[in-house]
Amino acid sequence: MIKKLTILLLLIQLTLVIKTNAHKIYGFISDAKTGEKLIGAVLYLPETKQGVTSNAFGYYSLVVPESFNVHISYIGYKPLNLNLKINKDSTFNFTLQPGIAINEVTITDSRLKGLHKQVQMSTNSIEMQSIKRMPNFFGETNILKTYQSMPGVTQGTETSSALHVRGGSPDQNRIILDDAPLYYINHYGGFFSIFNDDAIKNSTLITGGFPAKYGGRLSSILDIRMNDGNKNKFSGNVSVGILASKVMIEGPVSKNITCMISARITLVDKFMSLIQNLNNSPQFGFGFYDINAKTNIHINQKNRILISYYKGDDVYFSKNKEEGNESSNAYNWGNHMATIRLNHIFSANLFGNISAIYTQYRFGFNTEYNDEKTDYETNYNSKISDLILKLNLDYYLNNSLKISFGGTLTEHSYMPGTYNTEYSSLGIDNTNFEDFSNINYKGYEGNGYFEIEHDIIEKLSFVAGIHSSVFNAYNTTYNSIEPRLSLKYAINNLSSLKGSFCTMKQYQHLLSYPGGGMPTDLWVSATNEVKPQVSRIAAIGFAKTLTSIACELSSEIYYKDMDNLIEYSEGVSFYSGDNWQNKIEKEGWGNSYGFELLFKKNKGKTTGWISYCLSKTNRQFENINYGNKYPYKYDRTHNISLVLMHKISEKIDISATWFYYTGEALTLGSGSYPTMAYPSYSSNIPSNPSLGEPAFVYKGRNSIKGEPTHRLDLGINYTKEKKRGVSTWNISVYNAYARKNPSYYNYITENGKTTLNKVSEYMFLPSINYSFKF
Amino acid sequence: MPKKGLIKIINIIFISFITLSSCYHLTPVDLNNSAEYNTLVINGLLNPNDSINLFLHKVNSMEEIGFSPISDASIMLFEDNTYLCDLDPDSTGNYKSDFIPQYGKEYQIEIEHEQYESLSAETHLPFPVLVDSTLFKKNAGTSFLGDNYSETTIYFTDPPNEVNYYEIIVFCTWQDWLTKDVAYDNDIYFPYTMTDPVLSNSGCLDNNSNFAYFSDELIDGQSYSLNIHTLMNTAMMSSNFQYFVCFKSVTKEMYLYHKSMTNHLYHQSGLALEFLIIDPGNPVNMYSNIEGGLGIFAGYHDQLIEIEI
Repeated sequence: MIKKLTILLLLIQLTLVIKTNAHKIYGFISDAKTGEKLIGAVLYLPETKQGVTSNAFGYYSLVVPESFNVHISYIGYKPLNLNLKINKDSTFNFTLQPGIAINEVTITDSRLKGLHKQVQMSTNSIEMQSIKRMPNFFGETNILKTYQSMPGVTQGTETSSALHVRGGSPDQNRIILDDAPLYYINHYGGFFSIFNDDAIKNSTLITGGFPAKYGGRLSSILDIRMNDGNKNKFSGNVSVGILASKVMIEGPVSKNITCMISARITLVDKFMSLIQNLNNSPQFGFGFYDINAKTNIHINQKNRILISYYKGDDVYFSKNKEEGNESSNAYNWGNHMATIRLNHIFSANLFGNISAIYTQYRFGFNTEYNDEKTDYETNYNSKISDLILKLNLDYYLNNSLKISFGGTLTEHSYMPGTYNTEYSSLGIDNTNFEDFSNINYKGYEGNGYFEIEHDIIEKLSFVAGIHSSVFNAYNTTYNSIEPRLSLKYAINNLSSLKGSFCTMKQYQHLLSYPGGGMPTDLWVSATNEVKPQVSRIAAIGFAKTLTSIACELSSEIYYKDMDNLIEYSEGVSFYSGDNWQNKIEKEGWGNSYGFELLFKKNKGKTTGWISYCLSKTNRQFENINYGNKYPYKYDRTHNISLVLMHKISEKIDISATWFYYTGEALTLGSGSYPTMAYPSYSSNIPSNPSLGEPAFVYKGRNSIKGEPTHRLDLGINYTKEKKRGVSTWNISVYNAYARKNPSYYNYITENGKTTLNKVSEYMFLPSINYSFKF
Repeated sequence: MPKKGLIKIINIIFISFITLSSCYHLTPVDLNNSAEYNTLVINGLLNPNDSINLFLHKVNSMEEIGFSPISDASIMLFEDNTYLCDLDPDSTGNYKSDFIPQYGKEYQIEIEHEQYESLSAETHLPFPVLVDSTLFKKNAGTSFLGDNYSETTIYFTDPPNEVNYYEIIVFCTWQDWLTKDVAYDNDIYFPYTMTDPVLSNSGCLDNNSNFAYFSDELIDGQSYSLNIHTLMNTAMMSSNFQYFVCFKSVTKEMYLYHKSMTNHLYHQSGLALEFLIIDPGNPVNMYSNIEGGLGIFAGYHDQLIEIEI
């Protein structure tokens, strides 16, 4: 039935195209200064009241009459109005000048681009300019933390960058950098994200009603795109902060090739080493670096190659040197990613992108000890890597019908954990000991998708698609057919009702501990014993654009349920040497439901947004909490974010963010009692039975609510034009009113009394950052 | 600038940075987590060599320090559901009788106290399974931490067609060269290099347990040789060194109790462990076979063997 309907619709549309004898204009929309392709730029035909937006590569295709007026706009850029005449399908590459007059609010733009106009629900995109203006933490902006201020997204621990989207865990987010999935996205255990804002052009977070091209994760898609590199001249940025410093250079290598390279490194470990060396004390420290690079090769009007590269590593180390011996410990973890993509314009209607991708995440620790007689070294390593081949095609039939289709082939390589020890000692035979307690293995995944985006009538639009996938690992094959549907009904020119439904299947699991988001978390696949995770998400919503005050309002009610979740079994730890499949509880269930509200002001001197989410999230496993339902650890009933940015003058802008969220769900002892001591022997006679350590009584998993967290962050940017560029000083204060927010809780016994204590760590943290853009 | 002055300046900058960036503040909070429990706890292990000896306490709220013995309860002992006697309490909540338990009998206890819910429990002495022989290997290998460990092989025969549970404890004694007293070490068990499938199956190789516990699930009715690793190289150099293995047959209740206790003590929450780079698991409630309360009432038999080294 659906097939027949689709074919019928296509025929109708084809007839319309032929009848009107229309032509097409197509091409790319770029930044006039740098040549960066603009994602989501709007092309609008006032006469026909039709329009399209540019895709993830800045490409558009628009059906036009022979003579027409086109309006092109993009937030933060001066709009372009053109009168054009054509007599055949033609290529037009438009460029927009950055910088909009503050009061220049275009109603047309709002009508076309506003949230009310988008069929796609549950989608948020924050401009990089806004992210850079917001208060930062230790001198570093953090894209992920910014998205924590969006409705439906809650954060884990106070400083963590992990995203918990609509009750999902962080592993249920697909984080994509230039089409490559990344498995671990934090530096410094969550203080910073691995995304260097100097290298990022655009980011979009989708939390429901997923487009058919996305799959493989239950809760969200965060699609991040790197800068292509300045096409017109060499430029760059140098930045020095308290914890990290960075440099970015971009420019044309030749007429058709542009490059961008960006590197960031922390200096704290070097500084700590210096101090420790001078004091001759044992050394320890944290360090990280990351490198982003991209090359954009313009072959001809129809072909373009994009090569992207990312590498980032974190290390925690300790070294001790005493008379006669040396010892060291080091933990290291990081991502490594490379993609090569070919954009090809087959015709005015058909745009394609083919990608070859490699991505890897690894974690390891190393222990070494040396003295006169002994040398030993222990290594632990875990790793996941993917080889991916991807094809995406967009077929633009007309201004109201777009078809997208494509597919992906992936080879996953899993190494959930191996030990390796080398030992040698004088007088004792050299020994090599290896324990591969977890077997390395491969998984194979293939998926295909088909999606129609169609304005049926002026008021009613839909995006309907299907994502189908097959996965094989451990000689077991799983497959899925995931329907996707988003509907929009325009109540009037500025407001609409929306609805969406989708199912998602995830073949990757993350074995994660209560802290969550630590580098020790292990990525594993669905196997014959562990089924893939599945979610179903339904949402209805209302969106309105308020042109008079250049604001947008969006509200949604959602329900999500999840099957086949996994958790570590009670009392199982990272050290457990057994196969990971024996350490987990399988086939868990979870749900989440809530109400989300977003009020956003995009233009004017003062911009920002307020978001609120009221939600409830549960989990249930047969062997956890006696099989009873329990709250998810980050089940935060209320979550409020307020983000404000105000431009005082051309040189000075200020920003403030305020967050409030309900405390996390804790499993804390509520009573204690004596245990029978382990049997002990002090001679060949057993000791008398005696009492041992106290045991705790737990009311239930995550049954205690922690204290709520709220804080105000402030920032000020002072920008000055200089002879060779633009300098910016940023001063930020994290937790400006020094609220004692809980980092964690512990029991302390003092003077005969035991109390539960909230440990607060981050109160009134000022930071300063200097950057110079040339 | 002299080196000392430079160090001072760098130290001041560094300390200032640390002070600013890591303000650590403790605030007592009340999350309504601490509860007053109307629950009693009985702890008692029976063996064929000792008279019956139980401990009775109440569950404390989290604010209370130490244990709270209950010494005014009535504890009745039954054998095969026939009343034997009342146990005599002392002020520490220790209830005793002169009765020594016998094999093949079921023992019940009933505890009454006017302020608390009544408790009851039942157990027996497991029939002993004895060690057939042992073998000791001094240098059995090197651990991933570089330690040389020894290996003790314990041969025993599991009785067929019944479920049996076991524990193994190892310890050593020697004469202290200075004081001439007998010194001992009951922390020589080294599970990290052990790979025995029977122990792995029980989960006792996880969580830093300092003794072995296992069931015959994988070896029912078989003669089996179990390898235990120990670290005691330094002690072995001492005079009068003796090394002992205690092989226990235990009831299912005792096996489950020790299994859950190992997990429970290792994974208690509220210990600020979440900030370690390697997290612990989730908290686990303790197993109990006490109806209406908490604790353990179980039986065991032990065989102490000195190992020739």
